[in-house]
Amino acid sequence: MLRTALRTLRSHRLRFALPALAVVLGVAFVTGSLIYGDSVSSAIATARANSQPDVSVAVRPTDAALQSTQDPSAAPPRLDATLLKRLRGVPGAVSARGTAEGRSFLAGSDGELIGDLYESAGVNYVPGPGGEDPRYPLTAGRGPRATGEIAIDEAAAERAGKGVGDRVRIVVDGTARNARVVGVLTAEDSRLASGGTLTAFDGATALRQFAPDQGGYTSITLTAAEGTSEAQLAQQTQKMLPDGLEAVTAAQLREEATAGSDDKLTNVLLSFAGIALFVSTFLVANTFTMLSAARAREHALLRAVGATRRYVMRQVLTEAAIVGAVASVVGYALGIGVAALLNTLFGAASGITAPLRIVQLTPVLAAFGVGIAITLLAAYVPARRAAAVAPVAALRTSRPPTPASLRRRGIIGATVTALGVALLWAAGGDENLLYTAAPVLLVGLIVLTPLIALGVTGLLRTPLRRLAGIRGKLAVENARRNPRRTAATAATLMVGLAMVTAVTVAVASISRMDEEEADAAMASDLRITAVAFGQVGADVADRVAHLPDAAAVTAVVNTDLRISEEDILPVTAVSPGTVERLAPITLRKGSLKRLDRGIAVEEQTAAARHLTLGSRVTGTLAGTDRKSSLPVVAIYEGEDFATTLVSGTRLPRTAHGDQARIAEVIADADPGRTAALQSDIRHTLDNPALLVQDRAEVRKAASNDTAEFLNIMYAMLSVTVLIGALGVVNTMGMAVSERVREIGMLRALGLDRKRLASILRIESVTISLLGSALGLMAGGAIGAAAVLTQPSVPLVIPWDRAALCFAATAAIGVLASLWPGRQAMAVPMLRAMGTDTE
Amino acid sequence: MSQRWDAPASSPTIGTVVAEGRHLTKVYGEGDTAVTALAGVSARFVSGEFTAIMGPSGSGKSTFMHCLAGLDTPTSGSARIGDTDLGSLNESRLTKLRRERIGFVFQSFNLMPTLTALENITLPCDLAGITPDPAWLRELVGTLGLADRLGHRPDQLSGGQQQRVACARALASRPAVVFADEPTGNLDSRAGAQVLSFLQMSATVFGQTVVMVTHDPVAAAYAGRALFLADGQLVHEMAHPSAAGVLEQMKAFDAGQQAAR
Repeated sequence: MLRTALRTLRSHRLRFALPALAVVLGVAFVTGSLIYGDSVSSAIATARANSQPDVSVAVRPTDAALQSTQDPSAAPPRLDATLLKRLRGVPGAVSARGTAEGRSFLAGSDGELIGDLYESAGVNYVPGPGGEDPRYPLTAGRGPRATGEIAIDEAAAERAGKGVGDRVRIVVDGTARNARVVGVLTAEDSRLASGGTLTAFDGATALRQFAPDQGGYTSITLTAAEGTSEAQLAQQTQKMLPDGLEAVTAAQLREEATAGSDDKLTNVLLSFAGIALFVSTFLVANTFTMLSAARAREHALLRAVGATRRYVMRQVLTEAAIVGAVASVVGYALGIGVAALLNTLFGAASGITAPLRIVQLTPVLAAFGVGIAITLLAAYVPARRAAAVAPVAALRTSRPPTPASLRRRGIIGATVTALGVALLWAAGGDENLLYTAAPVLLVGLIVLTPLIALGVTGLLRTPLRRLAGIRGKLAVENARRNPRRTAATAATLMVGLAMVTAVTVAVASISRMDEEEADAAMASDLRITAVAFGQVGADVADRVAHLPDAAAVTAVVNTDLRISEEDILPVTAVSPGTVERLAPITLRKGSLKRLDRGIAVEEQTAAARHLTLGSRVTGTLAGTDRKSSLPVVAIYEGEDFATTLVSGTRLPRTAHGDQARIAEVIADADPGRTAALQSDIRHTLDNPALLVQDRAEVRKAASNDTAEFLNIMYAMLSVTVLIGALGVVNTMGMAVSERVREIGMLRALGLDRKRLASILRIESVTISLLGSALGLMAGGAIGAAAVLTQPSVPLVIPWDRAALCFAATAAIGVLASLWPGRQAMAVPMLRAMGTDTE
Repeated sequence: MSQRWDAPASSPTIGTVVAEGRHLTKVYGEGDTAVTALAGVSARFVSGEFTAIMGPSGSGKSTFMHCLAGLDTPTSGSARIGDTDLGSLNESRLTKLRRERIGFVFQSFNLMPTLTALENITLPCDLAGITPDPAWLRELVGTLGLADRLGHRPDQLSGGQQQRVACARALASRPAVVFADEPTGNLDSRAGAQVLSFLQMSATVFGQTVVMVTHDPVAAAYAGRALFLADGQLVHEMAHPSAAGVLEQMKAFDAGQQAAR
C-alpha cells in the first residue's frame, strides 16, 4: 500500500506541491513559534539561575515596612555600613556586600538610549583587596574610582560603540550627564540576558544616586561558606536583623523573578499559526477532492477487481499521511528559519537574542502531529468519497455524477451564520461573547460560501458578459462549475482578510481614541515627558522657564493628599501662575492665581465632596509630615487633567523618591517660536531620556504603539493571506488540468493565448474578490462589534485600508492566474481532437 | 432555393482552390526513433467540394488534415488556405486565420459544456469579434432542426444534437473551409446519417468546402471525392465514391499491405 501511495504521489507530484506548501507554512509557523519561545524562556531561565552566583542570601526591607513609608516614623531600618559590618559576622557567611542599585540609562553614539530600559541598571563597584570587584570581572580598563567615571558591560560597550577612554551620555534619576568610561566589565546577571545595560559607579556616587534617603544601601547580600546552605544562612542572618528587614535566599529571589513571566508571546504566535494551518486544510481538501474525482475510474476498477471500500479509503489516507509527513519535515526545517527570524526581529527591539535550541521534543512532536493530523483530517471526506465509488463506475464512460445538492449545506450555513450575527449583536458589550461569535460567524460563512458564490457569480454574469464578451461569460461559468471548490478557495482568503479587517477596524478606532484623548489632554505648545521607566528631572521646569522663547512653563507632578487613613485625594501640583494657560482646564469659579494659598478642585470632585469656594480641605501632602488646612480657591472643569490642583511650592524639596515624580513639564512658546523653543529645550537639556514634543508629535506618538501593534498583526496574518493566495493558484491549476480538452478546442477554434490567459485571470480575480468581499464584511462586523464592547472608543471604519485590501486581493487574483495561465497556454490544441486523451 | 444560396460575390466561385497541401511531410521524433507520419502528400480542395480523406489507422490522414488546418506544423512542404501560406504566419496570425477562415467539427467533445447551444454556435464569431448574420444563423439552425434546442446546455442534448450544434458552429462564420475529423465516430448510424447529409448539403447547396477525415466507407460515400492515404502517402483518388467501391479499395490496400509484410 505504501508503494502504491508513493507511486500515486510521484505521478501527481505537481498537484500535491501547493497543498503541501500550505501545510509547510503552517507547520513552520508552529515550530518557529515553539522553538523561539522555548529558546527565549530557557535563555532567561539559565541567565536567572546563573545570575549573581555570589549571592546566597539578600537582606531587604519587608513589604510591610515599605508600605508604611507614608508615615516617616515607621520607615524601615537603614541598610547602612554598621549593619553591613554586623552581618559580616553571621555564622556561615564568607562575605557580605552592600549593594546600591537603581535605574541608569546609557546613550549610544547616535544620542539614542540603548538596551531594554526596564532592565537597565546602575550598580556600585566594590573593589576587593586587589582593586577589582569579583562580581564584575573587567575585560578592559579599571574600575570606577570617582564621580564622572563609570564602567559598562561588554554588550553595552559594543552597542553604544564606546570603549575605555570614551565619554558617554548617561541618565540617572531624570538627569543627564557625561561620564568617562574607564572600564569594560562582564557580569553574570539576568538583567543583561534580558537585554538591559549595566553601568558601574564608584561606591559613593552609587549611594548618592540610588539610596540618598535610606542613608545606606538598597540591599545587602551575603555569600554562604561551603557546607552552609542558603536556608541556614538566611535563618542565621534573620536573627541579627532589626524589625522591618528580612533575609531571603537566592532561590526565593529567582522564584519571585520568574513568577511574572509567562509564555504570552508564544501563545499569541501559536494562535496565528493555528489560523494559518486552518486555512491550509482547505487547499489539502480541494486537492484530494479533485483527485478523487479524476481518479474515480481508477478507484472503481480497484473495487471491481475486489478491493474493499476500506482498502480504497486507506490508500487515499496513506497518500495524505505521506504528504503530511513530508510537509512536516520541510516545515520543521523552515520553522528553524522562522525562529531565527523571530529571534532577529524581536531581538532587534529588545536586545535579547537567545541561542536557538533547534531540536526539542515539543516542537518536533508538534510539527509532526499537527502536520500529519491536519492533512489527514482535510483528506478524510475526499477519501470517503473515493471509497464510495461504485465498482460499475469503472465501466461507465460518462463523467462522474453531479455532486449532491447544496440545499442542506445552505440551510446549515445560513443557520450558523445567523447565529454568528446574533451572537455578534449580543456581544456589543461583552468581550468574551465576541470570541465565540467571531469563529461561529466565520464557520457559518464558510459553510454558506458555495451558495453565496453561486448567487454572486449569477449576478456577475450579465455585467461580465457585457464587459469582456464571451471571455467574461466563459470565466464566470467556469467559476460556477464547482461551487464547493470555488467556495473553499474564496474561504481561505476570506478567513485571512476577515482577521486583517477586524484587527484594522479595532486598531483604527483605538488609535483615533488615543489621538483624540492626546489632543484633548494637550492645551500647551510643547510637552516634555520621560521615556518609559525614565524620569523628568526636578530642575527641568526651571531650566525651560529661563529659555528666551518660553512664555509659560509648569511642571505637572502627581501626588496625593492624605485626608484620613482611608481617604486619599489625588492631587496635581502645578505652577499657579501658568496652569490656567497651559493645562486643558476651564475655570468656573474663583481664581487660580491664588492657588499658592490653597487648593483648586475640579467641579465633579467638588460636587462629590460637597466643596465650594472657601471650604477647607485638611490633610497631609505625601512626603511631608505636617497636616495643613487648605481653602478652596477655585473650581474648574477638566477632570482628565486633574481632580485637584495645588501649588508646586507646597511639594517637599526632595530630589528623589516616588512621592514627587514629575509626570510632565508643559510649556508655551512666544508666538511663532514653538519650533525654536523646542530645539532650544532639546539642546539645553541634552537628555536622551526625555521627549520634547509639539502637539502634532504628541498626537502621533499616542497612536504609535497601536500602529506598531497593527504592523505586527499584519506580519502574523500575512502567512494566512499567503496561504489563501496559494489556494487560488492551486484551484486555478487544477481547473486547467481538468479542462485540457476544452482549452485545446477553444484554441483550435481561434482563441489566442492572450485571451485564453485573460479568461483564467477573470475567473481567478472573481474568486479572489469574492473571498475578499466576504472577509471584509465579516471582519468589519467583528471589528465593529469588538469596538462597541468598549464604551469610550469611537467606531472608525478605515475605508482607505479596506479599499487597499480589496485592490490587493484583486492583485492576488491576477498573480495567482499567471502560472495556471502559462500551463493553459502550453496545452497542445490537438488534445481536443482525438479520442485517445481523456 | 439554389438562387437563394448563391455564394456572395466575395466568395470563391466553384472551381477556385481554397485549400492546398504541397509535398507535406511530417516526421515525429528524431534519429532512430523518428516516425514518418506524412511522406510528401499534395492535394487541392476547390470551393463547394466535399472531400473525404480515407485511410486506415496510422495512415497519416489526421496529420494531413491537422497540417492543412494550421493545427500542426509540417516538417516540410507547405499548406495554403486561399492565397495564404500557413508557414508564413506567426502563432497569433495563424490563430486569427483559424478563427476567421476555418470551421471545425471534431469527433467528440465538440462543445463547451458551460455554454448554451446558441452560445456554442456563435463562439467562433464571438472570438473573432464579429456579429453572425442572423438570417444565415436562422437558416442553419432551421436546417439542422435545432431551433427549439438553442437554450440548452450540451449535457441536455443527445449526441446527434451535439454534433449538429458543432456543424452549425463550423458554418456560422461562413469559413473558407470546414474540416471535420471523424464527425460520426461517436454517433449511431441514424444520427451519423443526419450529420453527413448536412455536410453534403452544405457543399452542394451552400457551396461550402468541406474536408472530412474518416475511416468509414459509408461516411465517405456522402462525399463528392475520396482521397486514400496509406503509410503517409496519397495512394488513390476516387470521384463520386460509393460505400461498396470505397470498401473494395480499402480491402485492396489491406491486402497489399499484408503482402508487403
